[in-house]
Amino acid sequence: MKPIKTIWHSALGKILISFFGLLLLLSTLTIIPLITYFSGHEVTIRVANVAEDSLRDPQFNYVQPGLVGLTDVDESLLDAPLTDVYDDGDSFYSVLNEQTVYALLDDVQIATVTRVTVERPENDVPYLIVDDIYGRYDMERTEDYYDETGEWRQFYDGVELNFSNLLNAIRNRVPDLNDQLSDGPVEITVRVWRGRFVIVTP
Amino acid sequence: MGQKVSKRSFDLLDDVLTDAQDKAIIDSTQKKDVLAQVEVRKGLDFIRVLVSFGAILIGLGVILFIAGNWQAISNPFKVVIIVTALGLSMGASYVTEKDRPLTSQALLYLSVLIFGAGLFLIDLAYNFNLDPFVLNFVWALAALLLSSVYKDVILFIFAHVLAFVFLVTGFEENVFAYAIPLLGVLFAGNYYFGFRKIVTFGSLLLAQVFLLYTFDFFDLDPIYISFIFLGEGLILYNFKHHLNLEIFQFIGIATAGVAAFSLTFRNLWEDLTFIDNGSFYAIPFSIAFTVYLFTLVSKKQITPLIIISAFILRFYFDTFYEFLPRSLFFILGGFIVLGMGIYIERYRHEEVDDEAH
Repeated sequence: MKPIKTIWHSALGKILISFFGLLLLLSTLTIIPLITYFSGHEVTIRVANVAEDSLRDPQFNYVQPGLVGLTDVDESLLDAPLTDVYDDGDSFYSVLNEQTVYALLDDVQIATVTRVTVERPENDVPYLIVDDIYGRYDMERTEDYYDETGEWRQFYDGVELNFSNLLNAIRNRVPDLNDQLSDGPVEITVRVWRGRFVIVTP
Repeated sequence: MGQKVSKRSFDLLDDVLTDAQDKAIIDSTQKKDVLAQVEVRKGLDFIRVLVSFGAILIGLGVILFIAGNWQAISNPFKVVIIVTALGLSMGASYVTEKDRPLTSQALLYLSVLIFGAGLFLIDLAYNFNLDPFVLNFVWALAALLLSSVYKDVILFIFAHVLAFVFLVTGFEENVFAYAIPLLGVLFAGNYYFGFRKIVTFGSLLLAQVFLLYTFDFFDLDPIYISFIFLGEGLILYNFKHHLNLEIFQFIGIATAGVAAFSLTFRNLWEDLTFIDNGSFYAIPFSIAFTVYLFTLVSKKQITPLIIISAFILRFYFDTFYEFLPRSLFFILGGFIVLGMGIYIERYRHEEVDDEAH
């Protein structure tokens, strides 16, 4: 009796199963973005070119053109482990190397950072994962301290949060972002879910 | 149609048959019959080389054009390019399967690479911000899919490599939900691929990485990790069975060796709160383990000998680096390494000779 040759056993069948199997696997990449889109909190953020903002002092080393507007936060928003680093004038690098830093957002008309913490927030709270965090150098205080004590110690005047992933995504979505920012801040609506985000508008 | 052979082989066959005909071993009809069974394969002609060169140049131009304008290409079109490249590669693999099986296989491997590149490019294009371990996991699944459909052991080994990268990129993350089923499938693959040694080796190695990941995830102290690996390695080495025993033994003794090597450092022992002077434990342990390794060497095993060599070098560096002048230190170190190399090589030859007899 001749064995039944299923499609699985033919060369064409194998290639078709493999190809569509791979496409199916490729499509799994969209699962998390789709969940983020349909289940995420919708927040509007303001993106501004802070380096050209007349209200901001452009002398800080880390203020770069095109930084997301919500990056500049007050030190009172830091949680205890981050406050310790801030008060000691240490680098935040070691914290970021060990732990994830989360920036909790409110959902008022233009979202702002309400808390910066190393504790993972509840899932129903909108938050973004901070890609980089650094203190803004307070040169005046640092120099005063040196004059008084003869020792160098770093003092900060607030904190900069860097959301480079979000900024890259926005740049990808709005290729002429820098031109638009020269005309003023741009508002972007995103949906955030467990630290992940999907840009809704523009 | 006869079997295709090179012009050189055909000439050789012709010469042999002519010689046989001259010696009246065969007649001219038999010679013709034999020669009719083979056909000279077409060699490289000028036009063929020119056409191939032109095709490569065009292909290179297309790739460079796409790469140069990648940022300017819209995201949906990027996906179309990736899927088309994947389809073309797999289609070419299908077309060449009968006439050029090796090329077909190579194109299949290329398809897996295109798929992996596509994963990362799509993630970047759409800013999905997926964790690297997720992408590596999906890539490993792709390699698994193709290896199971084509029963290709190289793809299966490649799936192991990707699983390894997935685990390494997943350190500090909770990847158990991904890793456990993946490891299950990879171990089950041993049965599917007829318990090949290379597959068993890959699966066992991966299991060690998974254990390390697990201990790291639960923040287990390094001293305990070393003890567990030491115990596990010795169990793997000494547990007798008939399933690629030599692979189990190799992984076992190598794991135990690495764990024991870390236990030769006194600082590690001092992690235990009740130990003040780690040397008090590290040195006797090192001696005891070396004695154990020597008992294995006496049973004509080479891996323990390599571990002993590593121990000797480790203590040599630790003891003499501060005391000896640098040049003398390195010259002596070089002689020790050379001596070990010669000894291990001679030992290996003896082992091979014993096996031959």
